[in-house]
Amino acid sequence: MTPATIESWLSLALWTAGIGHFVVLAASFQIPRRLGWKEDLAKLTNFNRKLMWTYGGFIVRVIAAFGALTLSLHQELMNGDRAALFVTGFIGVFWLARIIVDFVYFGQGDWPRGPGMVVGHLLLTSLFICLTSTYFGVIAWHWYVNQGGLS
Amino acid sequence: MNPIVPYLQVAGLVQLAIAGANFVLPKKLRYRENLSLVDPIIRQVFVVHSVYIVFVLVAFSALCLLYAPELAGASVLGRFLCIWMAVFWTPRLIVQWTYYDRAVRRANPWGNWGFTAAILYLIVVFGVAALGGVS
Repeated sequence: MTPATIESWLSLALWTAGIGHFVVLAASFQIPRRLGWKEDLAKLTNFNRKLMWTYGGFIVRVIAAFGALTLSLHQELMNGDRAALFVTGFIGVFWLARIIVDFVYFGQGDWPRGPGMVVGHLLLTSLFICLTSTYFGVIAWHWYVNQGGLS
Repeated sequence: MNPIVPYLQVAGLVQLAIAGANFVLPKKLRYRENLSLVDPIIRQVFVVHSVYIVFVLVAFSALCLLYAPELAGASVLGRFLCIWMAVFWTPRLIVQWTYYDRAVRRANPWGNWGFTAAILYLIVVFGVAALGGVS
């Protein structure tokens, strides 16, 4: 595989990752209903309930920004200057942490049952792995280029 | 050097302080007692969201402290990041004054006004930087 081929694959992966963030968001909007947040959060104090919704809103805005940033600044991320690499690493770590949380913190027995939930969970985790690989792939690519890998 | 650079670096410290405040909140708002009332998965989501918020704030701080010249440099990336951070903080201010309980705000006036001042500072600095800084 030539460097140009790797770069074009990474570029395509980055476009797909940008769209992938909006797929995550579409899935996220179903979470409150599927996990019965309304009934469960009614048990919290007023302030903590509001805090929970506020935190959820923050996370949604962060994911939307990741998607918008990846799609609108695709070339900047591919060019890989200092700040762009930092942002790429930040997004990569964000999704890597999400995978780790899924495997070591969320108890599998705590998830709602049913084939739909199992398939959805599997697809989402696969998407998180793709997102993590893409952003770390871009960083690895720049590291390779900076090491003189193309000379 | 763009004169907005030191203000962006202070914005990094302000965000670090807000991230630090998140370590005090769980005890003050009695998260443990409250969250024991809900399903484990809801509790876990709440904790994960809280940790993620701190992570994002630390990343924003690092951006401001390490890459302030890039943020102020009017590059497409710098401008996008400044707009993002301004947009990130604006709803937080609205939430503080229109959504959070008035009783909690009254019980914690220092926290309320401190947060308000800090968030206003961040919105103004990122807004000015997004417009290309001050010349």
